[in-house]
Amino acid sequence: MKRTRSVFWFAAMVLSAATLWAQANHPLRMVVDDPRPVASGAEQLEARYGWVITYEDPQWLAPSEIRDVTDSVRRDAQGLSPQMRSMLPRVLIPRGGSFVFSLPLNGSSDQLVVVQNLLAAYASAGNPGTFRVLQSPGAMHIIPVTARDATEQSAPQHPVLDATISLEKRSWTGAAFLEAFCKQLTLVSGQRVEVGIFPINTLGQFQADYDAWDEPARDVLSRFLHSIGPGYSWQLFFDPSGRSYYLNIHWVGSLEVKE
Amino acid sequence: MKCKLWKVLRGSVPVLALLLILAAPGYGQLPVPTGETTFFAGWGGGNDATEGRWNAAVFDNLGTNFNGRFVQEAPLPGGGPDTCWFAGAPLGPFINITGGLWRVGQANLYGPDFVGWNVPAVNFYRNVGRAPCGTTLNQQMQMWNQLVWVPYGGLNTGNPNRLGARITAATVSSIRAGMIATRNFP
Repeated sequence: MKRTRSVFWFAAMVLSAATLWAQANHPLRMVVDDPRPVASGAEQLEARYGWVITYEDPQWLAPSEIRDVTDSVRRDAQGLSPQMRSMLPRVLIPRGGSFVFSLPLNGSSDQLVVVQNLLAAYASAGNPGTFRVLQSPGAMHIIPVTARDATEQSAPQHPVLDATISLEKRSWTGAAFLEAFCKQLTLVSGQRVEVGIFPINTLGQFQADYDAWDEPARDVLSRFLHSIGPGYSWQLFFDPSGRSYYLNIHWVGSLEVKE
Repeated sequence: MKCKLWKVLRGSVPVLALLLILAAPGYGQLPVPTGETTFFAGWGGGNDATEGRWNAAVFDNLGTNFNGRFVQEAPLPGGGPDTCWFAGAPLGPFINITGGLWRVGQANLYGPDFVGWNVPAVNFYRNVGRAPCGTTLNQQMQMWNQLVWVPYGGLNTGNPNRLGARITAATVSSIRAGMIATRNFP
């Protein structure tokens, strides 16, 4: 009886150890299914490892790469006749897609390689648009490379944040700086860029002397956010309905790991 | 050997004594508010014209002067849903407070705490036919007390404060600690 019990405990211990070993040595699988899968994947890496991974949408213009969600989104369409409903402006979002990606075992992996693998997994799943990653001190930037144009032809993208901008030297609050930055970016890129969601209380109180002279907008924004503190990231999302970009800022520490 | 051990123990006495004093309940603790009163302080400007600015005055039962102390907001679960947001929107959902830090000033006042969507977000949600819509958030106020952040207050006096924002076709509202401010916009 005693021997049977010992064998049982030994087997249980071996099984537990094997399970722990398997968990520790097999990469975690991340399944992404979203209208902006790359942005969502980058967000999950940020939340899990605390890396700063910024994201910029391409211009989603091709009918095959956008989705009409008017019926599910517009509340003002409810109760209207089909004819009246068809006269309302359409609500369009990126078509998006899904992909599966293996997460590294720990955050000490080569960050650039991890993000490159994420982009490769996205592309190999046949999702719309292609992206590349650029590394700068303390951050990685996911930048659009191609997307289909309105005639369904694959077209190279001219990332909005590649535009060079200048801003006068003065004392800015974070919120005023973002407003001026987006206005200037709209002017030089020809694309409307609006300020989206950002930590208003932190940026509203932050005040510093700041300027920019003929610098790529991406560097200006990076430098500015870094001056507030470490861990600030952004997502520049394109709205296919209004054909505008929205610049959303978040603090990486505030993200939660999505299981 | 015995002598060496005694020397080590004897040398540790002042350190141990200091640790005991520091760990004693109440040592080095400064007063913490028992609550706060919220005041509406107007609307923001420019892109923030649709965001309410709120100030608050912290208090305790002894009339303590908290001038110079620091308070911060911390998120609490239970926020949302953001009924303006939808999957694929170019704006993130507004369901968490974003982490403000303030220095308490004269008359125990601190602020402003901005609550609401900015002008581009209000315009976007109206343009895509989401209004009327809104969100709610839970905010826990904490005061820095030597080495730790200490939550203070009760429901709508700091822990938690119910925050919120609403957008209709003609108005925007900002809510803090159960108080609501509404304006016509544009």
